[in-house]
Amino acid sequence: MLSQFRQTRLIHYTLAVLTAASVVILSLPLAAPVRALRAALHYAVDPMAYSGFVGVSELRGVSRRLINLVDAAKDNEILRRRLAEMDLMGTRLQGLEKENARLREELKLKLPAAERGLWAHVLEKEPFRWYQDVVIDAGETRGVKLNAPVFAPSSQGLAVVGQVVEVRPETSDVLLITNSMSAVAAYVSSEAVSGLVLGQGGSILKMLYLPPGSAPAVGQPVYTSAVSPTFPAHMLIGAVASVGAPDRRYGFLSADVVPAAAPQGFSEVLVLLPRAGYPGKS
Amino acid sequence: MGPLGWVAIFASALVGQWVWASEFPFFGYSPQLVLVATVALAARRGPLAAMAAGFWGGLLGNVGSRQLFGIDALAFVWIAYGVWILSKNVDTTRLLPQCALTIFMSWAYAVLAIVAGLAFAGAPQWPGWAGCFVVPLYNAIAAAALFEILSRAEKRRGLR
Repeated sequence: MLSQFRQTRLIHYTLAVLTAASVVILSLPLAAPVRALRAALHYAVDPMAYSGFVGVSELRGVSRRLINLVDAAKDNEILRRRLAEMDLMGTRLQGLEKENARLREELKLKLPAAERGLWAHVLEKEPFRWYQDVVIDAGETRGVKLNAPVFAPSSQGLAVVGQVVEVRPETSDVLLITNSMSAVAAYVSSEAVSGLVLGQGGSILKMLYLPPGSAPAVGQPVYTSAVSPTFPAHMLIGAVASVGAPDRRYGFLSADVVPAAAPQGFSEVLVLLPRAGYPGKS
Repeated sequence: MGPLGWVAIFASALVGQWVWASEFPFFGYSPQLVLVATVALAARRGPLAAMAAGFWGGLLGNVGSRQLFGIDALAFVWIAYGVWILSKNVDTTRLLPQCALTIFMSWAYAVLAIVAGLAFAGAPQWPGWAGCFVVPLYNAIAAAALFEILSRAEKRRGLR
């Protein structure tokens, strides 16, 4: 251990030597030894400086990559939203396609000049009254009249669904043809075989009063008759499912009919309304 | 902190100073990290090591700069000596005196640069008034950071 005095002296010597060296370097910048020293220091320093700048550029790259990552996350969010919008648009497109098909069906329907069609949505189908009636979202304000015939799209075109039995300002009740209170004058294939289609409160209709000797075949379509006071003629009701035995007392035949528009098969209906200036059928 | 640790600190200070000055200057100025390291070394290890490290650190620092070659070496040698002189009356091992000492030595450096510039280049190496106030402040902040790093390193070493 150096004594305090010797240490102080050493410090002063060091200071003097290093100061002298600095002054020489400052005084003779172009001297060969100074230039050699500078070149040697350059040689030592350059790799350090290079490493430092490489490290900084790497760090800058990291920040750029992080920014890109954040941007990608934002883009991802935007694309997710767009995808959700696309899903919504797809659903709307499907709805429009359905509407398009429905309108095509409507165009097939040759409405009498005195009548016009009004499309409405089914609002309610009560489980306990599944085959009895439905509520639709069209009422008096849209021109719905009592006893107006109601149709729905089916695989064979528009088919009879029922008739309006109660009209409120914004909604109406439709009595389905499957309701046991319902009766529609009808014919099978040709008007020669006509009868009355009655609701049974279930999924099958009963067609009564078929003339004895007539032989309606299974699968033959059943249409509304021209004598029906409510429905326009030649509208599809359903198809013959089976033919029963002749009535013992009167001899007429009966047949089971499967409705073309089952209650579970439609959510939109076409209500037939009288045109302004024309008297209604019912 | 051992000699190798101080070599690492001076090397980091040199590289940090170059990178800082060229890549991230605050308002056109950057801290003099080698000066800060010299003050810290002088305060903790005495003037001999600090004068030697300051001399070589100054020379290496001047190699890559436009300043007079050797001016930092001269300045840092005297700064290390000045810290030793002041440490006889001030406790330079604490944070605040070390930061104040760094500011004072930054001003001393500016004066010495002017004098040396006039003497050896015929023109003062004047950093400007903003430089006279901003750079010492940066140096003080860097000194505080270095003090914290060294204190933690010494505490960890003491725990081992």
